[in-house]
Amino acid sequence: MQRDLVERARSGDTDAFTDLARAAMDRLYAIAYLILRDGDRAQDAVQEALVSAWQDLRALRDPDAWDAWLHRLTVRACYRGARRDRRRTLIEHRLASNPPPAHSLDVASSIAERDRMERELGHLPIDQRAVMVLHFWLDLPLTEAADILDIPVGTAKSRLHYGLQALRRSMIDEPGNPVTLVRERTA
Amino acid sequence: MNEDPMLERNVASTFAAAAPSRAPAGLLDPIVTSVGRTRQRPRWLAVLKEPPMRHASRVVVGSPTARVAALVAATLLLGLLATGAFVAGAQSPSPAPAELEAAAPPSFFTGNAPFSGACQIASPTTEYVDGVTKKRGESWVCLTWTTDDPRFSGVSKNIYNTDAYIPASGPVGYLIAGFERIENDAGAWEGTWTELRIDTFDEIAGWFIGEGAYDGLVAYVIITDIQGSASVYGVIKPDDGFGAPTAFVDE
Repeated sequence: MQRDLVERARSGDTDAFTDLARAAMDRLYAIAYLILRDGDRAQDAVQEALVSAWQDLRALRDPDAWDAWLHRLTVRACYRGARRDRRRTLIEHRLASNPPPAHSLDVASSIAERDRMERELGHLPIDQRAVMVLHFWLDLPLTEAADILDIPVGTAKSRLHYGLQALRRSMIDEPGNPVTLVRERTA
Repeated sequence: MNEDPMLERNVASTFAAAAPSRAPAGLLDPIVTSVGRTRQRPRWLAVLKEPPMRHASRVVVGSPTARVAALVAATLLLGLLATGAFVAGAQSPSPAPAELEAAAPPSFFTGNAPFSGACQIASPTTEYVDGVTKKRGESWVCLTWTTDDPRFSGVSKNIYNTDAYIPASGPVGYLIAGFERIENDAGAWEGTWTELRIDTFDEIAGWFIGEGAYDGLVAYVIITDIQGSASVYGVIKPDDGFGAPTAFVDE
């Protein structure tokens, strides 16, 4: 079914392309959102990726690679968007580094942990976050993530390794961990 | 990877909690509109532009060899052009403007007419018949002609029909026929053209009839490299009835 739609879209059928875009949009938006951490920029990235897909669809040799190619276009659009907004991102990061809203002691620590993890993920370089999103959220093997990112598998592995290492370190050292936060706020 | 299964599980669950389950309503509409207004790139150009992608050790997008070949060809072409320009410059000085003016009429001109792709005024109807995609009545404005003859410069409006044959493999072919009007402050040119694309070859040729200040003149125009520089080559001449013979003359 999808293969047929891709073939029709490749020969210029806009209706077939619309069906393909509709089917992929939620997934692409989630990928872009997780990489960029901003709804507006994620929308821009998805739009840019899908319009690029339409324009260059005739470069797609194997219709079965449609999803993988869309993932690549989306990640690329995220990189471009992040470069465009680097200045804004820096400001956001600074804001995000402020202590998060106060959690009282009885709030489940798992929620606080997740908040902190989410914040730390946002501090990682975008290329490390992209590997993590493809590997941990889309559940793709690293070889496939490397194909999508157009990097050698070794590079994908090292980005993942350094990303996890940074997370581990920050989860231990970060002054914003729940215990420290609670101390600060109850002092 | 499994270097820290607990941390990896935490990352996965954090992503799962943070990922929006649906894209915002209304995101599809601007995409559909953009797609309706944007022409797909011909395969040769898409293959050159799109970085190759491998999947399970197979090339599934683009062509690494085509990109390298294009780069080599472009480098060679630039080298040839630079050498040619140097030799021509050394051997024959450019004629003075007065000499160029004395060479008219007919007046030959060159320029560009790039397809902006931004101002579609009518979407085509599309049908797929026996392997041919038939688009009818696609219409655009704001395509700007800029030539070294200000008479044949201006903004155009055109409408055209397309028959496209795009096989799964082998060369793609397009036959496109259009009607176009180019206007500037002094007058206008109106005429029909035909475009033929076979893979990397893509040319338009057509006759135009002058109006206003250009009344009594005709122009014959060719456009090459339509998806790229859209280079224009043309001639303006008096409408003296010149054209192809309509029959063979018996001896």
